[in-house]
Amino acid sequence: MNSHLSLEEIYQWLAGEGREEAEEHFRECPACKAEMQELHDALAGFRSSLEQAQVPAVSYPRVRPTLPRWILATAALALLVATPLYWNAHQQRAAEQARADELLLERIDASLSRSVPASMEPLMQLITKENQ
Amino acid sequence: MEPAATVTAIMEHSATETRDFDAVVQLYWPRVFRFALASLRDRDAAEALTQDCFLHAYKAWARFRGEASIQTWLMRIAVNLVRDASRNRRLQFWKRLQAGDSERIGGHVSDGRLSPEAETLLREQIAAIWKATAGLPERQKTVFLLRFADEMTLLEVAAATGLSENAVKVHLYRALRAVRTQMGRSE
Repeated sequence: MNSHLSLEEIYQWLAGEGREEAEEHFRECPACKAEMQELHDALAGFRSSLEQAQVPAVSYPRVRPTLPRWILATAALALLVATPLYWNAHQQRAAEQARADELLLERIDASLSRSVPASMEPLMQLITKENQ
Repeated sequence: MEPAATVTAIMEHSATETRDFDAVVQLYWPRVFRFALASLRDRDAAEALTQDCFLHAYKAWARFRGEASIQTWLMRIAVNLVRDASRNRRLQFWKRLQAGDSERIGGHVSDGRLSPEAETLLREQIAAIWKATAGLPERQKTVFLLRFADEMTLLEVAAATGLSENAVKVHLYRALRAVRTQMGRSE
């Protein structure tokens, strides 16, 4: 058997490296095995003591994910530009509608103010000429 | 792989796939808390830091692409928070240590296989480790806790701390040397 493992080699084994070579040595060397075992058990006990610490219940202040500022700024700008455009278009449509309504009323008025129906107007013109 | 580690790996994979942050919190809350507790030795501060860690993670969750494991990603956040907290708390930390706070964090419970003498010796050794870690420089302590309290591999520790694997080894061996000395063993 070779000489004992160095402390660094034992630390390597504890760190999870060089396991096969070290384990082979531990099988043949009680002194190194005892050295490793003592450290290993103490570290396991340390971890176990920490695991026994009572863990508080899960609680963390959730925040709703907010949109990036540039998206909010772009949306505000778009709203600012779109509102007057929409308002103008709305006003224009209202004015056109008012004009169309006015024309329709004029036509109705004209139709109501006739003395004879429109289809009889040529006949009335003939009668007027004969009378003259 | 150990059965518990396999279950954790499956749960982590599932949480990553489904983008279920609540599952991540349930899975890693105790680990982050214990790391914070071992680092700061103050339950209230550890709980606040754990909350802070998951709040940071929640805000960054949409950007998490899975380049590192969730555990490594979370521990990286926790390590940074502990480092910031430790800078502000160094004085209080030493006061607490002098008051024997480390002894109260958790007591090792015997599994019944050890004789009373061996159990007493083990308790003393665990207390020595707590005492040794308290006196370690910040990086050595972080590396030591991630390896031996969180059971992370050297590569995971390197990823969580931003150190090279070789630097992790150097810090870890120095920490182990300090622990062994505190346990009453000569070089």
